[in-house]
Amino acid sequence: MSFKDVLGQDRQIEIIKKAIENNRVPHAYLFLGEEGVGKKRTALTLAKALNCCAEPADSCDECGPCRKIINGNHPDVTVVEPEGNSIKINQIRGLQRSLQYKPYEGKKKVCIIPNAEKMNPASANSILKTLEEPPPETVLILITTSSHLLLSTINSRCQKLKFQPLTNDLISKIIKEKVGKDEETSLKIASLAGGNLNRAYELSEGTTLEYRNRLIEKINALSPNNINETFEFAEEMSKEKEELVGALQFLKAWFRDILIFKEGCPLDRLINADFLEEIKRLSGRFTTTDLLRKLRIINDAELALLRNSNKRLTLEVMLGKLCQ
Amino acid sequence: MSYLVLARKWRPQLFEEVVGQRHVTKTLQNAIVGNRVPHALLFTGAKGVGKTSVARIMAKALNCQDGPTPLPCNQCQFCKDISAGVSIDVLEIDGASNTGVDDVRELRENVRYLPSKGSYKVYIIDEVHMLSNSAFNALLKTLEEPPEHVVFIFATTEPHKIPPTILSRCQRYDFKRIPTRDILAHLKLIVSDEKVQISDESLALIAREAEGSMRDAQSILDQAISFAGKDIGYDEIVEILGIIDRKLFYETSLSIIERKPQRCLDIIEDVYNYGYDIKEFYKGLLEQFRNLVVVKVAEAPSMLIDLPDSEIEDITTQGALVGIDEIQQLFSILANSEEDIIRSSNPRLVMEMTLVRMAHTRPLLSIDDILCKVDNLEKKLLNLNNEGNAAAYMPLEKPQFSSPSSQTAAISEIEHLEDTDDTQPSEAESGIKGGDTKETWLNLIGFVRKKRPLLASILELGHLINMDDGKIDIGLKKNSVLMDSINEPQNKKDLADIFMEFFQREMALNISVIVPDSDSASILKKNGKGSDGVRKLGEEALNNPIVQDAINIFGGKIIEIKTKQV
Repeated sequence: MSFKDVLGQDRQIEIIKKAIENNRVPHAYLFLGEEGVGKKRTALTLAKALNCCAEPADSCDECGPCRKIINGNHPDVTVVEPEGNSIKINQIRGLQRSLQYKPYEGKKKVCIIPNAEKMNPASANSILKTLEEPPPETVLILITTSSHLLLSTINSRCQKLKFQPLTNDLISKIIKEKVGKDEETSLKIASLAGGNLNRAYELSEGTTLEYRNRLIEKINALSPNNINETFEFAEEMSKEKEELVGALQFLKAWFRDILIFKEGCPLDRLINADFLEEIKRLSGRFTTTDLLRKLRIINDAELALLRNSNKRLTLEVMLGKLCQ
Repeated sequence: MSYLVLARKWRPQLFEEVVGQRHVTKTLQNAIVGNRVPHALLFTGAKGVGKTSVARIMAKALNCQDGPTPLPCNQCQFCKDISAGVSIDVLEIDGASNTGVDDVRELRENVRYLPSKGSYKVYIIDEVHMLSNSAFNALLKTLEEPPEHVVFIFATTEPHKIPPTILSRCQRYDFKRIPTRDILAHLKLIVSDEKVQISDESLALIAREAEGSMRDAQSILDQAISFAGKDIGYDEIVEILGIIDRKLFYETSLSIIERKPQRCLDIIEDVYNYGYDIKEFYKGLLEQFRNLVVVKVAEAPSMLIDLPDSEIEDITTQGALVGIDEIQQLFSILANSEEDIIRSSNPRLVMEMTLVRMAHTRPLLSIDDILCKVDNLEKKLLNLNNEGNAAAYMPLEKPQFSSPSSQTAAISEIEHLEDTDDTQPSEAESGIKGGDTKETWLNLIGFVRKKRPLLASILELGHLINMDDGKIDIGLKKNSVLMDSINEPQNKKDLADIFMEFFQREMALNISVIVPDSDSASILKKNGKGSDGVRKLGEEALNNPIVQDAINIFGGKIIEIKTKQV
């Protein structure tokens, strides 16, 4: 896996490669971007490229260092993953101790911290001095989806590199090639994934697509006259532990589509383009205010669930409001 | 040799090299000259403004071989050691990694020993806000009266986390954000030294993006150099920073103001496809609205908006299209969605919805406008009422007053507010007949209430027996207070006057006594029904054999009969 295997981030890769070529790799990088766009992949490739014996500014995946990094047993490349819910101060202290030594066999010591926002306040502060002036031959790579959760002092000590969401075309291509779905399904998956390749893989496995279909069917069938059905639906949704967040996203996307259609946007912007007829029909039924209200309701429910509210109650309230 | 980033390479080594913190450096230098160096210093301020750097320079100034001197030589062994971070008399401690009370105890042990080479032992504790409470407390005594040879320098971005007992023992120096023009000047210095070609415009862009932090500015420049080499163009900076073209913000706010939701959605699509960060876009848009407010309020907006004059002019033109209340309203919608956008896993969707909502918002009227409208309405209503009264209550003499055309003209102006009004005149028109009698009676009571509320209450409690041309019969219960009251000459006269006014002619008031039984005589059946029913029920209850038995058995008597409300 060399830099050319990181897809859809040409600009970012270009910046990194030039930094390697010009021998201006900073001691601290911060990779920003949504989930599933290739940040960690890039970080690992960078670690390999810095240590590779064969290629000057890329990884060959053949030489010893590259293979060790791929297998996760290179002594100079550490990945600090959260222990439980957060990255603890002891992990950072351990990291600082190990960074004091010169590279053991490679050229550079590389430390990758995925989910850097999971550092708790103590560990985030304790990494500051290291991040500012690490020992020579050290490169720290912090990765996060939400830089606003990091200390401003961390943000300021790193060179920031923003990763963009992948395009739908690219995702559908990858899904078609790697998972072997047909053209239509891959496109459908791509537009639902919203630029997130991991999500696209998730969607292409299992029954997520069918789940969305059922969800849309149900939400359209809801009526204020049949309160029982609403409650049953809420119960059913609340049982889907894994998919609940996804389900709310589906619902949001659905009403967003109707709204967008109502505003007269081109059809290729629709996320659920396969339900065009339904969207057309419903866009006549709802007013813009209605739709905005519905989206707000789903949003509120989403926030409430993030704050650990009772799932079933929240969903009941949400659906009850939605069908009014 | 590993590459040193610009921020480290250009870390100031002398007081004069520190940018934008003259108020601090000058004070410290004077303190050294006057031999008034405090034993504890606290440096606070935002990230990347020079706290740690000044702390190190201060250590040098104290320990330089000519020292203490306001102008450390940066040549002698002492200075070099400090720059390299290997001096044994200057201890730089990471306050965030050594947070515990044990670390402080160890420090206290060592404080006693004299410096080995220099004249001072300097303890620099960076990120001091992370020390634990007990660690801070363990430090208090030492901090208050340390040995003569010791100087403590604390640096932190979060002074509010430091206990007041520590704060009061330190001399505090607040570092300011560095003004954009100072950053710009310093960047120019760097690029000329690094032999990099870059336009002033690009440097200004970097300086602005850095938001007052020198380190941020330097790392952006660093990135630009490593990406573009020694010749950096404006576009490359824009690309690296992912800076969104300001025209997009301008267009977005315009589309919102012009209420074109579709255009807004198009812009988001472009932003997204280009790979811009939606959160970044959000921030920029928020600032755009802020600027719109500023140009409307401020006398010299260029002082408050960090943009070229031409762009400020554009914003001013746009600002002229809308009222300040409207911008404020839009701004608050936008600001309220901040949490949603930042937290959301799909910020694009939230952004779209926010913009559609904004574009669909109907402009708020200012309170003044609303008051003005209410005033107008009130006046119209008054006029209408006068007209309406005339029309309503003189139909017998002058029916032409209530001709539909004049009515509708007046009514259409106040629209739906007056639902009841447009039925009233037509009724009066039809005269006091049959079912309308009740209506007229109620209207009459309403009319009386405005003039004499007391009399209206009496009328309300009484029963209308008959209302004919020029005569009103009212029944009141025997011996009731109402009877006495209405019979007072003054009240009678007033009532007559009010009737005169209402009906526009003489109405004789005839008050008769009614026995409760004869309630059924009242034409207002509804009123009568209640008391009538109650009476009947009471009798029934009395005659009920069980009740009779109860009275007989217990030898009781009936005091009250209550009906159960249904």
